[in-house]
Amino acid sequence: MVKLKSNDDKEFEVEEAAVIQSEMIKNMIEDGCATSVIPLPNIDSKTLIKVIEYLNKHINMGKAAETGEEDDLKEFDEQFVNMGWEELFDVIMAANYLNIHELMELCCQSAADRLKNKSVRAVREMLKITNDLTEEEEQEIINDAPWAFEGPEIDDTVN
Amino acid sequence: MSDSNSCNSRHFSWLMKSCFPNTQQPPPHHPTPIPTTTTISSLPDDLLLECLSRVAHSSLPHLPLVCSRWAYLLDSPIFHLLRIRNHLVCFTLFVVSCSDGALLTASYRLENDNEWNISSLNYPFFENGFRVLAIGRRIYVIGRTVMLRCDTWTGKVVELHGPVNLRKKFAAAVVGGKIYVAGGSAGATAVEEYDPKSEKWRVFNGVRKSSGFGEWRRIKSPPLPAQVRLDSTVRFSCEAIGEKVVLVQVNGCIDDLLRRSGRPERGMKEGLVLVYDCVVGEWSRGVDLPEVIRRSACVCVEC
Repeated sequence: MVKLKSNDDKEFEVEEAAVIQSEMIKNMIEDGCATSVIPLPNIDSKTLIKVIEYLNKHINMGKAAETGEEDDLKEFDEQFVNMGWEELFDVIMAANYLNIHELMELCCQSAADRLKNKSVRAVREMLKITNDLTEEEEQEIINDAPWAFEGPEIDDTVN
Repeated sequence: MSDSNSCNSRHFSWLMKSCFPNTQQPPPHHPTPIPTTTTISSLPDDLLLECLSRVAHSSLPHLPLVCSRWAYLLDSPIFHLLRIRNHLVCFTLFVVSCSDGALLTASYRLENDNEWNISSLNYPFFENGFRVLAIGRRIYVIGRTVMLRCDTWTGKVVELHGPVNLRKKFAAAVVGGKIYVAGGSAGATAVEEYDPKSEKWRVFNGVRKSSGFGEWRRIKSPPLPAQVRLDSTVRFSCEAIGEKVVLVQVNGCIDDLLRRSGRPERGMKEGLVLVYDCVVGEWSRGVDLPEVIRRSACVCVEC
């Protein structure tokens, strides 16, 4: 078992087989730097719980293919990324820090998929992005590319 | 490339921070941290790129319109590299044609599409006799005085200066990320070079003739009716697409040729697209050009 400590001082015990999916921790263990508790100063407990949930589910990735559990894993992944934007960004940053390639890929793809068929306005609102284009630039864009703001296939809903 | 995180300076800053006592940190007995919200602006560029570079092809045009940071990231070379790495780019054949000054384009993703996608370029008037080239994801339509740069991702068209010398029926090619035009100008041997970074043309005088290269080898003939004599009314354009060569009939009608030479065969009309696979050494037939696209120029874009 390996102990991980979040930045709000909560400790979590994780099986070594699960935790070594993180390249960072795997390297620490191999280098003998993971004797007691591994502090993770930029991951809060809420995010760490999510990451551990993922690691535990994906513990035997190779075996899943043999035992036909792929569908189960796929379903888990779909459910897993069903979270708010803030939480998603937290997990992306944690996955990047811990260097968990598959988790990064899953979350970044989810972020990209959420932008599909969204109007520019909807994207800005959804992600709380301040429009830093000048009124003239914006007008030019609307003239050049009215489809980016409206159209039958464009979804203006924010979720 | 294989490990995008290995040269990441952010890790060092975090490592540094973890070495210094943080006075802001809540005491251990108080487990609830100060709530901070993570927004997209908290994501560093490399992580935002990881997300944005994975969007569907159809969503690409929206990205640069959201804010200036996204526009900047979309234009960065790493964005294109990430899309290639994630197998999101595809060799696409573009044909551009001009009808009454209006520019029409049709695109065809060789491996994915069953039909051509037609769209019109947002430009008031363009003269016929242009050449079409591609650098990266952008298509350059080189006219006599004006050159258009079209972004295949966003559909944006920018007007640029054409070659310095007036040229008619000139040759154009891309070598090493720059455009070269030659010929078609009375009495001038000057070659011109266009640098897409500086957006400037440069004239070279007294170009030396090449001493030649390699050796020619005969390949299988394309599947056209035997012994059909092509004359100037039927024209083909030749484009390399990955490991394939595409022969596009850009002008004329083969049935007309057959009729004129009194041959009974019919059925090979206009807009033929013939694909030669260099690996297998075989020809196959692609989807014919749409009827509205005639007298066109072709280019392959990896986008």
